[in-house]
Amino acid sequence: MQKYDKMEKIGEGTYGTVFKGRNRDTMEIVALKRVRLDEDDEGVPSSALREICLLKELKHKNIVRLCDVLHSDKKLTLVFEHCDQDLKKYFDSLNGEIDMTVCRSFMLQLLRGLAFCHSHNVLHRDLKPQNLLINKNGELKLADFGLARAFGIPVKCYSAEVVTLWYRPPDVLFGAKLYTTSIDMWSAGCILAELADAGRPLFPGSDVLDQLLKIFRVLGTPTEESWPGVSHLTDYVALPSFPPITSWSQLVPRLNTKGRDLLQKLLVCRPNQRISAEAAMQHPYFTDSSSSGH
Amino acid sequence: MVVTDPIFKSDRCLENALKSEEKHQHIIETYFKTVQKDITPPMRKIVAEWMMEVCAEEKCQEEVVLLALNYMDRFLSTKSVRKTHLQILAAACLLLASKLREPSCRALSAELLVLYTDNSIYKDDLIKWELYVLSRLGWDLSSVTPLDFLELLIIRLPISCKHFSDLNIDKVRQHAQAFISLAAKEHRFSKYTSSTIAASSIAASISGLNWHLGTGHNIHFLLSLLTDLTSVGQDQLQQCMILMEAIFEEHSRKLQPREKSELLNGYYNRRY
Repeated sequence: MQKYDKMEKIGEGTYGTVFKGRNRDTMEIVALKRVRLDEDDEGVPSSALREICLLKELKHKNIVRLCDVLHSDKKLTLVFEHCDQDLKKYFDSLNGEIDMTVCRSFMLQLLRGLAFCHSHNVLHRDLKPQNLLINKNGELKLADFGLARAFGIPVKCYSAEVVTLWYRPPDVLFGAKLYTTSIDMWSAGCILAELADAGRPLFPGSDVLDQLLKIFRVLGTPTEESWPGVSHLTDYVALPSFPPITSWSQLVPRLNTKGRDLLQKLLVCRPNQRISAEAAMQHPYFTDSSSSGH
Repeated sequence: MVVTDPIFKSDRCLENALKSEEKHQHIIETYFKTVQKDITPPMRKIVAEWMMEVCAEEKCQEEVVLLALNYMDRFLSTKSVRKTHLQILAAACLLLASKLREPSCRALSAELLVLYTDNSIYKDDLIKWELYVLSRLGWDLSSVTPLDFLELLIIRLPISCKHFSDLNIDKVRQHAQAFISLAAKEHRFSKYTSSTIAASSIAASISGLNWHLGTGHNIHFLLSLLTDLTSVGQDQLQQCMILMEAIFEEHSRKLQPREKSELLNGYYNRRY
């Protein structure tokens, strides 16, 4: 590990600790993710393996770049491009105010990164503000692909290891086993609302049931008519029948009409009705500049 | 039940898969002549069958063994291996493929793999081989398998359309998977790309299901559709398809009649 100098600790990933580092030759600042390999263990952790493989394939300006992989018998170091902070920390610095052009720019970059992943058969599966990195130039990059997976073939069992509760879609909360790109689109919707509200999470549930209630109080409780098959999902529970809210402008007051329209296309309970990343990028919210606050 | 992600239908998905296959083109066809001194194609077949047994026994996702075989072939095309090391190489490839494609809770453990070798390898060595394989392959494990292409191609064919109602997509998929796994055991098929294997397996499957009788189209119509999708020449597809059919014949001649029907119906179902 002589090529890079290790500097201060930046944080903890899904696996391994992340340090700031400097390339000795080029003086370039990088992020070093270190994973210990214990002899009596299972070798390289699967999350590290997946992240390495996927990121080697995914070269895009809205996806964090993996520059190098170094290994010895005892540890593995993933060398990433360095970003100044993640979206969560950015939110903390906002004091409840966000420039809506920034909100829109971040959202578009998030969708671009996602569309690229999805067209390369990759699901991120763990989108949340902590996994979106921001640099000084206002660029946003998807990071932490430790739970991501190539989705070549429909997947049968993916139980617990997916998406932080607040960003988890209702189909997954009800135990749906077949995950598709729509899982990331729900999370993107939650993040849009959070961006528009300067970092206040939209559905901060405390457990699965509370999460579902928080969602249905806004979107209305799904029925067999609105979502055929919902009651056959493994973990389905009948919940009080809430009507959908009538005013989205109260929910996300700072988001303009077009932004609210996009949000409503992302936050759809029935997974196959959720807008795709590719289509969301084309939404008028991103093309019309008159109502953006310029 | 198989739910198809609508995004599979976007052309970019297939294009990107084909592009990534191109990038991963490795010369593995000739390694028995050029690189390996100690091991032979029959040994590869024995170890491939062992890998398939492990995966069937442990109910791994279908693509795990194909991915592992791809890693093994790529490794063998760069580095000479003694026959006493072939099984530990195979086990390391299984360990990697399983970590990559199985949910973490269900991945094959190193310990279990050691058991499947009848304790002929040590776990510490297996873990070392894992790193050895990884660095040999340049940490590039994201190969596209024939099964990945199978899904991308099958939904683009007029199989489940009204006119051909007696043919169903699940049956075509199931038979194609059986052809793919037969082909994976044979080194003869390593000259074909994953997309070629997938396309030819669909052709072999559909033709075996008497598609032409139901539809009036001949097999060349189907092959030309597959050529349009994959840009693989019709001759190439047909050649690979004929080879698959021959292998299948050869294989089923060795089986009892009861097993014969299970070969096609069973391989896929065995996992559930």
